[in-house]
Amino acid sequence: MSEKTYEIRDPIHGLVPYNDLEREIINSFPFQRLRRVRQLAWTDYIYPGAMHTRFEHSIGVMHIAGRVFDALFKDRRNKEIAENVFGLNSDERERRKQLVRLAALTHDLGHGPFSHPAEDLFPDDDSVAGERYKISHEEYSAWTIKGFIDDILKSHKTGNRLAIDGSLVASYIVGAPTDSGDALLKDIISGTIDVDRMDYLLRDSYHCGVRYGQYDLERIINTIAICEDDELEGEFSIGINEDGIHAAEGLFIARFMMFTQVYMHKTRSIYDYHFENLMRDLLHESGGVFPSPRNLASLKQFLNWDDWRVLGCLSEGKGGIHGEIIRNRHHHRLVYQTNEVFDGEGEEERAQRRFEKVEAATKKLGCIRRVASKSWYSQSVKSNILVRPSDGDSAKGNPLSRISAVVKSLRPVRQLRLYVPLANVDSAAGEIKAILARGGRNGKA
Amino acid sequence: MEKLDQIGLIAYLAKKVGPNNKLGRKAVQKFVHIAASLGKIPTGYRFSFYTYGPYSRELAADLEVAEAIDGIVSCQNPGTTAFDIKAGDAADSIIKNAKNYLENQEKSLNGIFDEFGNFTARTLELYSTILFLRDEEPNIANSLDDLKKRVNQLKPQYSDAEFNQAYQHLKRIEHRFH
Repeated sequence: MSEKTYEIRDPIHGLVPYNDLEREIINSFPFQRLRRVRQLAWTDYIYPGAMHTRFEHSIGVMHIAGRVFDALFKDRRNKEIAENVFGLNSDERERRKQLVRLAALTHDLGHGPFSHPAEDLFPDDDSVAGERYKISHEEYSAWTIKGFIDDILKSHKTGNRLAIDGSLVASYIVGAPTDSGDALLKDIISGTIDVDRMDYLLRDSYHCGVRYGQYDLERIINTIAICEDDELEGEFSIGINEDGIHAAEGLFIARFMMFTQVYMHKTRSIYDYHFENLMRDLLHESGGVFPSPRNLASLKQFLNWDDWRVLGCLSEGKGGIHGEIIRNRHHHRLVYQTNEVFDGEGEEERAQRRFEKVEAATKKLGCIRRVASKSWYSQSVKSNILVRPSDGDSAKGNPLSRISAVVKSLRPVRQLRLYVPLANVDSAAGEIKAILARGGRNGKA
Repeated sequence: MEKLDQIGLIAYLAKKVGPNNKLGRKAVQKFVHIAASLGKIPTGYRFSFYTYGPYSRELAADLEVAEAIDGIVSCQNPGTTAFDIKAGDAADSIIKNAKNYLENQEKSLNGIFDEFGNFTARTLELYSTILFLRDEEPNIANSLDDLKKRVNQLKPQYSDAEFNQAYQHLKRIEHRFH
């Protein structure tokens, strides 16, 4: 990348350099739209600082992606595997690095207004027989790249020189990459230790004003490693060198803590519900779902939806009862929840039965069930990130979840929660108290 | 797709395949992908392509849930870093909770297990890769040469002979799952 470079100030990474091609993409409509898509939806109702957007996150992800790419080729063993197994020779490197950075930059272009909660309003994907999926935000991103970024890539001298087009960038996000080298590098964008979460943990933590998401980014980058799979001989993915094991532990603890303290926060979670319902109201003319990404006109209509438009509708009094709830911050209140994890035999089933009794008793009060594990942020808590031995020539990885006592002890959160409208909190509390008095308690009122 | 059914599917797979095969986490991914793609069995999982073939993050998370509630257990292979998955103490009750779903899919699932139950993770990966490309890149799905070329680009470690064998095998059996 010998062309002119620019810099942008970022609260997490300091000065972030970018080149002219990236600048053109940043200046495009789909990317500028991300300034108007908040990273954490209505989390500012709980953590007032959480007003950051997908715009700054995407630039941060691009920055870390480039650093991880460079780190991969600093280590002798990484370099040998990259060159000998994946053909990532030095003459290929500039092109691949640019591809990785562009995929990182554009990976979130397909988010709806207020990010993840909008995904409940994406249309069903009817292309897969027998399954009922919703189209994913990744697919919206891929279509946006192919529909609106492709021309920029093809007409810019760098994109042209490196033969990078929209389909190539999009192949890092959905579908299959072009070759085994791209498949390996895709791990940087969305693998077990990817740059997306490396950025969002630090950024979300910073803006929320909490410390839960802190971990040692420098050490992670410094110890990034290509590891041979523990199960599939001759298969490689991006993991970490043994020297970075405690930094990796820090990353997964940070993720677990951010999940329980921020992403799954009891009040944050109910605002996803209110948002979903207010959006259904706003989208009633299109059947309560966003326009599909699968043709350009409809995709453009989708991209015209951003936070500003939703906030404009809200300020005009639109959005039905849930719009009213959000305007006044009169959200439904948590009245009952099960424990986060269960230990004893049959404990979870008993807790679930009790939850269902409470749910049945409060149905008349308009109770709403929310499942923490269905959160958009809920992913594997332990992760199968591979750890490569520091010494010797073996690249055989060992899953972190097997060799780290800390990570081994992390358990998936499976919490059920019950909310009722604000006006019914006292009545619900009375009902629940009566049920708990009749048969012990496996949950928390 | 209900979460109980998805966890039930994992426990059922561990119970059926676990005793006879080295069933690691990646092999589970391949089995579930093959079941969805070839067997037309609804699983609720979306797969993306990584260096180790089709992979679903949600399925990886559900494996942890299944393990946390004793639906499956992981046992280390002696002398290796690999872990095998077996049915756990709670597998039967978890399978029972997904009874309707599993009964509806039983014929196709057992067909998949009969065909692929003894395959190594490496071989499953080749089949899974072919099926993924066939589904995701329909423009090459009907051309043997184009499909072979794409598999070779993504998975150069498989020989033409291995590809041909897998491709012909899939051709022979796919009618059973339609």
